[in-house]
Amino acid sequence: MALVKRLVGGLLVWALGFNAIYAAHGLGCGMGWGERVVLGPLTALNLALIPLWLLFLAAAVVVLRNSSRPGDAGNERLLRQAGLIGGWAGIGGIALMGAPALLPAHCL
Amino acid sequence: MFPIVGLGLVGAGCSGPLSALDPAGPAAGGIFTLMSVLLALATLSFVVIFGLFLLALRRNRGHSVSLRLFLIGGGLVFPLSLLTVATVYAVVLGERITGARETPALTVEATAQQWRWQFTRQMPSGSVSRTDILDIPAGRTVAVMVSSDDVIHSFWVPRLGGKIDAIPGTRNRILIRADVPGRYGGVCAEFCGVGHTQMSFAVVAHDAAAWDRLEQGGQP
Amino acid sequence: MSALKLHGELDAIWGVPRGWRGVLTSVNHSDLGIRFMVAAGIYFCIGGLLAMLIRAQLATPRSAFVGPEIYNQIFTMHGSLMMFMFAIPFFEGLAMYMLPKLLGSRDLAFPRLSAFGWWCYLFGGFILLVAMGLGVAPDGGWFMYTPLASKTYTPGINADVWLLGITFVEVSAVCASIEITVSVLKLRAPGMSLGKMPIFAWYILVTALMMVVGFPPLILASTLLEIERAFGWPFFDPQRGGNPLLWQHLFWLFGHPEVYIIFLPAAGVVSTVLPVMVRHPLLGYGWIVGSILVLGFFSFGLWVHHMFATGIPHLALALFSVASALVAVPSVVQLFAWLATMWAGRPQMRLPMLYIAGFFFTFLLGGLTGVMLAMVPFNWQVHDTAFVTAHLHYVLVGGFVFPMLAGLYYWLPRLAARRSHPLLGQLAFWLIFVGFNATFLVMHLTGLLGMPRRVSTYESGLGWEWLNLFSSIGSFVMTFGFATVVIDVGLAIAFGRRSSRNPWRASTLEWAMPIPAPSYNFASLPHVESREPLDRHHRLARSLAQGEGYLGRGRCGLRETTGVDMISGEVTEVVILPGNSGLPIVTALTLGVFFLSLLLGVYWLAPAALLAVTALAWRWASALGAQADLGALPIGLGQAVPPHHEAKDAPGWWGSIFALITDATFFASLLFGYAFLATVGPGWPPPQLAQPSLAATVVVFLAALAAFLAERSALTAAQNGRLQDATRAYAGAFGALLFGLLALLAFGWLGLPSPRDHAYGAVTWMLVGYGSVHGFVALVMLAFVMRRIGTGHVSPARLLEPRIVRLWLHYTLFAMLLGLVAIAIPGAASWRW
Repeated sequence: MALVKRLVGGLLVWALGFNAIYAAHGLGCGMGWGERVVLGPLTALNLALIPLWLLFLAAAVVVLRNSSRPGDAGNERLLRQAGLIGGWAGIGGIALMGAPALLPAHCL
Repeated sequence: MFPIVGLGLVGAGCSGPLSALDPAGPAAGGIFTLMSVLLALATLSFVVIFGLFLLALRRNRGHSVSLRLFLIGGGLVFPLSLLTVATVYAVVLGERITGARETPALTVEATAQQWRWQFTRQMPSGSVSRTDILDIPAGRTVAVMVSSDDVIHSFWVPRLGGKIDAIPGTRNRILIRADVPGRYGGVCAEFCGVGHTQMSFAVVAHDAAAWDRLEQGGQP
Repeated sequence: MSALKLHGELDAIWGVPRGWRGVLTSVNHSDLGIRFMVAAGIYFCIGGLLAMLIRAQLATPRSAFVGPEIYNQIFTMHGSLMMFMFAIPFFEGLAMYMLPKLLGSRDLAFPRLSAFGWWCYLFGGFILLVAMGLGVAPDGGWFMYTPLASKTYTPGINADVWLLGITFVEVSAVCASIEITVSVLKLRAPGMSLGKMPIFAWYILVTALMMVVGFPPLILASTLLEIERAFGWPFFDPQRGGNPLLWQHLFWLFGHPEVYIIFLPAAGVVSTVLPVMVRHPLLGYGWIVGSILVLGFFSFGLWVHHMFATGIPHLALALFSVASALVAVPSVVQLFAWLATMWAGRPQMRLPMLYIAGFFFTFLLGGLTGVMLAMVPFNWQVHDTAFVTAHLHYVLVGGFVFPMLAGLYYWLPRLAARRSHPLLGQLAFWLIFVGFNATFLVMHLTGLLGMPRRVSTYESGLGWEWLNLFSSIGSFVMTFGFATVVIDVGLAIAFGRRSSRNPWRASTLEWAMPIPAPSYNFASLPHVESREPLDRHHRLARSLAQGEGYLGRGRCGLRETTGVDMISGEVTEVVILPGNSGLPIVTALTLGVFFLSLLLGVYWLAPAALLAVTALAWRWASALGAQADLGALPIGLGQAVPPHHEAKDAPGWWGSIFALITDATFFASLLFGYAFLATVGPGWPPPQLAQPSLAATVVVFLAALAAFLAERSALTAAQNGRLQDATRAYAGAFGALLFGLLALLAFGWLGLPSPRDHAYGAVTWMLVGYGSVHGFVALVMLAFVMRRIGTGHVSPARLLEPRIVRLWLHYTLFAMLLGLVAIAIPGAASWRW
């Protein structure tokens, strides 16, 4: 478990976040949030997706900070390096792949 | 590949009744420009990476390398910058083609069946239905509501824009506009059984006068 | 001890009987790996011939060579064979053959499972081939979209052949994925930490893990569609609350990772062969490991890019478009790591390097068109056209076939102990390379000129004539190239020069053993201290052959290899592997009876076959273990470790963990399907909701709790050596679970609507069915562990089996209860006693 957390913790956050955003989008469209304009060009769907996106972004940052802390038992250079890459990929993945949440959201 | 496609583009080869390289409407035109940009970026990437490969083959003597330059510069910065340009452009264009804020001049029902298309529009004189021919006014945006009675088909008029699937139990929307009057070929793009090959149709864009006649109930 | 005497001793333990008996009972990974590769090669030839027919048909407009009925079978079979019967099995074979040799081990973790997988693959393939011979091959495309593949529109047996035949083959893939994962994690030479593993093992590990979670969605989809076709449960029928798009989601949830499952092993070959060809160790090892992990994850976030034209909202498409673009980045990182290695080394243009150059050129183009396709508007235009056909062949031939040919020529001395003549290999390369690009380069343009995929013919005057003719000519040139490879390899095996032991002067362990490989691989196992063990220790091969490493002598006829700590590589146990056995082929045949009975509609036979499989599984598990505590066994070099059934982290434990992950992914996909239908399915909410019976629900919960507690006290008793108490407590758990299972069935019977009327009923019955099947399996396992206590296979030191049963029991209870909750939430308004 420790190995999983260190190697792919950030990527797991990405997986959860990406799926959560997609699922929230599907659910929101099913409920008709895409047609309810609340703020300028933003719809109720935006208000659901943007906080979700930021939440997972924050989670990915926390995971990276935890995994890059030195002094883990039996720390091999490789695992640290791969874990760092995974952590950054988690942050970058969430940040970029979730960015379309900023578009004026509709369900067309 | 890119030189050959390029050759094809400048030659007469790019026109054709079903050619996406001969756009006749804003959606297809936008996609054509996007394609050109993507081709340029792809050619650049290919030249850089395969060029480095050939250079490395020719050097043939051990050399110290800056791994950082290769991995961060070549592996991250280089693709990320090109991808960002391409993706932002494509998403913006996609929003425009989807046309969420656009109000179409006309809405037509397109119902697919094995293996033909039924196009129905509401006229002042009642609903008008034609098989395998879709009449639209030229120069105006038409919403086509695509559905299917049996299996999945796909509505595609290459010279006017991308495709949208006809799925039973669902109504999908696509906006098309032909800039000039004419006849535009369309095909079923999703494999739909033994008649798939034969399931073509045509979009006929009428000029204003001809469209008025149709509106009055005249025959095309 | 002399090397020869040691060879005799070990070969007596690890060898295979001569003749047919050996063929049918061998569980040796080298044998099975080669069989997989040869069979996959034959399927590649069959798939290639089908492709020739396609190109012959499309060479000219209005061709009357074959009609659409036959043409549809041809292209469906071409795609299905190449994906399921060639690409996946070929890399499985390569991994099976190569991994133990690279990792310094004597075999894979579950040898009988390898053999079982092989027979499933063989028999499943026969189903497809026989159907093709009889003219009833699948004809709905390799993607089998519903409703076209549903009963109404494909009333014949064609679709069932695909669903059942491919699922049978998938059983083999799932077995291989678990086998490979555990083998890489546990069965390595002592000292080989994760960071000292050969890079190929990392690639295969990530690939296998992707398969563990990638295949269940497809298996679920096939199961649902077969149930719909056979019994009328409307999962995909929009008129009864189903949704055809559910199929596409499940299919591509598998189908996109599949592309990377195919690409990663091939990239692993490049990462292994290229450094040897440029005479420099691989640079950026850590970066590569990181980026393939990222690739493994990201590749599960792209599946919707196969569905850009299905009317999914543009915002969602944008999410997947960005993901599809970003997935290119880890691949580019790998490309640059290879370039850096070349830059630092002295590249030599030997035959494998030539094929790697072909890979660079071809795969790069495929990747670039892939990025173009990730852009939504462009995708709308070229989706389902010849452009995509061209793209995917660039990716798969570039990203799989070229590297695998490089690997074939690189490892030919290892596989066949012979060297081929470089001239023929070069000729083959140029024929393939030129032929391939002639076929597919122009096909991009054909697609842009509007030619859709899967059309059996076309009219003239559309500008496609010369392009198609050109493609067809190119494809025949390419065929000559592949034929040349076959001839070249055949000639090399028959007449080639004998190869020396390490012809490329490589530094990985597979070259530190005699060629051809002996049945036991290494006469003794090395202590690994670096990523390139042969680099520092030139005499390693000889010293291992003389038994100077670990386990350098036979012990009581047992097949022994070392098990290590997953991370550090410190030796933790001696893994005792089972020997040759007829069980794998018998079990695979019995499973074949199950699939055939479904295919031919003899439904009463299906449960009987499954019961027989269960009985065989019982025998299978009974053959392992020990009846006495052995304690620490000396393994040489002054070390002593216990046998695996007395160790905490035995391979069987991890095998169960990964099997459960596969199983849980299947369940999660089912829950996803349920949620998907409830959100977007036409005809929801259903006309009739479940009326859950409160009494049955309460009984299920209480019984689950009782089973949980009884098993807990059973394991505690076994830990303290009170075996009789343990048996009694297991009996209690058995009774409680049986009660719970009956209550679960009663819950379904009393409260759920008919599964045939609406997808809601069908899905909820699936959930009940899933829980019930697991309940049944858990009952068998509880009975098994009671029996094992009786036969003396369990002691406070030997608790592996009770611990594994606990794992399954807990998962079963979880699945039963979660299923109930998932049904009850929407039905909660109509509770009744």
